[in-house]
Amino acid sequence: MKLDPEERWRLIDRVARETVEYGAERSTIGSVLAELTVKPLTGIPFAFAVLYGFWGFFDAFAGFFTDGFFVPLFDDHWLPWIQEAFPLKGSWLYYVLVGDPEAVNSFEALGMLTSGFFVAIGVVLPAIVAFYLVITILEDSGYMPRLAVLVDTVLHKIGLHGFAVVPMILSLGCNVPGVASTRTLETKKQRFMIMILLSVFIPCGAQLGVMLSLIPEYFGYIMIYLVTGFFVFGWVLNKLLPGRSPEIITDVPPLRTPTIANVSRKLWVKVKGFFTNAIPFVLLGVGLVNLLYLGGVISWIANSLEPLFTGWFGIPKETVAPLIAGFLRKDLAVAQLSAIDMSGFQLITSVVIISIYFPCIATFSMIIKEGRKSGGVIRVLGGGLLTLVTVVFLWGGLLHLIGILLGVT
Amino acid sequence: MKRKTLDILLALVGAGTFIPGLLGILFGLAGETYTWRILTFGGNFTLWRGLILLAAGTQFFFAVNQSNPVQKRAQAVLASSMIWIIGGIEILSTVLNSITGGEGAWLNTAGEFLSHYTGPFTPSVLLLPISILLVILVTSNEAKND
Repeated sequence: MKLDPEERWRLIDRVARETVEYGAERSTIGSVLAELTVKPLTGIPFAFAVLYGFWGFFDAFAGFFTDGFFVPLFDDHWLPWIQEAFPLKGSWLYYVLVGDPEAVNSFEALGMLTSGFFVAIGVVLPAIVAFYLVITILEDSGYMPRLAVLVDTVLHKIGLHGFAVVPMILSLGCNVPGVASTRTLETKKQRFMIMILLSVFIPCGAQLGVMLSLIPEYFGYIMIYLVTGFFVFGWVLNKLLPGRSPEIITDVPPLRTPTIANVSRKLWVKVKGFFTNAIPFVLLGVGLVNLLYLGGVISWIANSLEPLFTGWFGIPKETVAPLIAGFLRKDLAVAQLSAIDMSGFQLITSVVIISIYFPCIATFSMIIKEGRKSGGVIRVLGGGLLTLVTVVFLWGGLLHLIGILLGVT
Repeated sequence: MKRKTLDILLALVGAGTFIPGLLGILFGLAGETYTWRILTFGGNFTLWRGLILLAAGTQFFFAVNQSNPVQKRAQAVLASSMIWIIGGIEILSTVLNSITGGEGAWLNTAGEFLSHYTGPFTPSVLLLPISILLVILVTSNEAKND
């Protein structure tokens, strides 16, 4: 049966008359609460509390498992056992797989089976579980679209949209799930932009924790500089990169209580994905760094970069070693920096450089993995490295310039 | 519950949230820790916790000014949930910290475990039971009106 537009509209009206009931909507506390969470005056302070809760939960949960159980398990039991049990001590294979035979903790061993397992299982896994748990609860409660609506206007200024807040929040705990969650964004341009911006400008939870405990007096300045960099370079990337940044129309569902069955099922799928996809990349990354060490590439980089560090960034040459350590774990790199004798401003500059110079190995591995879906590994890595070098030069150099102008270097 | 009684209650809880929030911001900015009996201001994120409490207190005051009773109650629930978030995280941290042992021990001894629960407590933890009672009160009122 063929209908002309007039007849089609008449049919729609008839169906609507017979199926739709009209009446006044009755407000309840739940429905008003749902409205309050998207209104800026009430929604922004609440969003601030939710983000605090998000980070606080991560800090408590991941800290409990990493520091309370995995550090003693790996350092006191796994490391001494594998150092003794693994054959071929002194060979290159021993160095790549087990690392330093004299190391007293799993981080410093730098082997695939020691540092690799420790970083993947002991550090990143608790962070992944904590963050995916909270993200799933926020998604299932209907709060995530509300948060996206609240920040949409700000993020549109740099070519992103409200849902880019998900990888940003995740990255405050651990950049690995942050990079993994960029696949929810629509275009290759948006995925590339947020991948680079968050791996450069958003410090992970471990790094934030170390900064807060070792250099609390400079924490605010460092965060302001990093957040400013996020928006400045986001704006520049948006102008320079080809591609679309589409508007989104999203349905804001009512607030609901998440069910344990749904949350646990989603959490299991995400954690299983981490085990099968991310852990092999992290282990391979540690192996690659070891091979670079063995080949003398790392020490060559350290010697070559010395004039740049002292001249362009105005920081002591001793900071090269923590920077290389930062490739494996940035929080430890920050801790190493605090032991080097330098001025307060040099310490701020060093911590900023540690944050922005290169993502940690776990994040780098995840960028390679996700890069395949965001325009190809070579394109993402090439563009990413170019952006990184530019950002480090300009943002690090600018900080040195600010120091010179203020007379505090 | 009469509207005036509810307004007085909301204003009292609002003041009880707003003032510790303001003090939290001041102690956070100064980097000082202050303890009075079972109440303490200090530790990491004192400034941020203070800001959230201040915002929650302001939401309670907004609720007092609301003429629509449903809006009034919803705003009180929103403000209370902000207290629950920071108070809940404080309690979770305390519980998890009390479980793990120090050097060479996986778990804490019973004595060390219990010592984590003797206080002093931050304002959000002390405000938690009050805000739970308030939410039970305002939501049960809605159920009665149904």
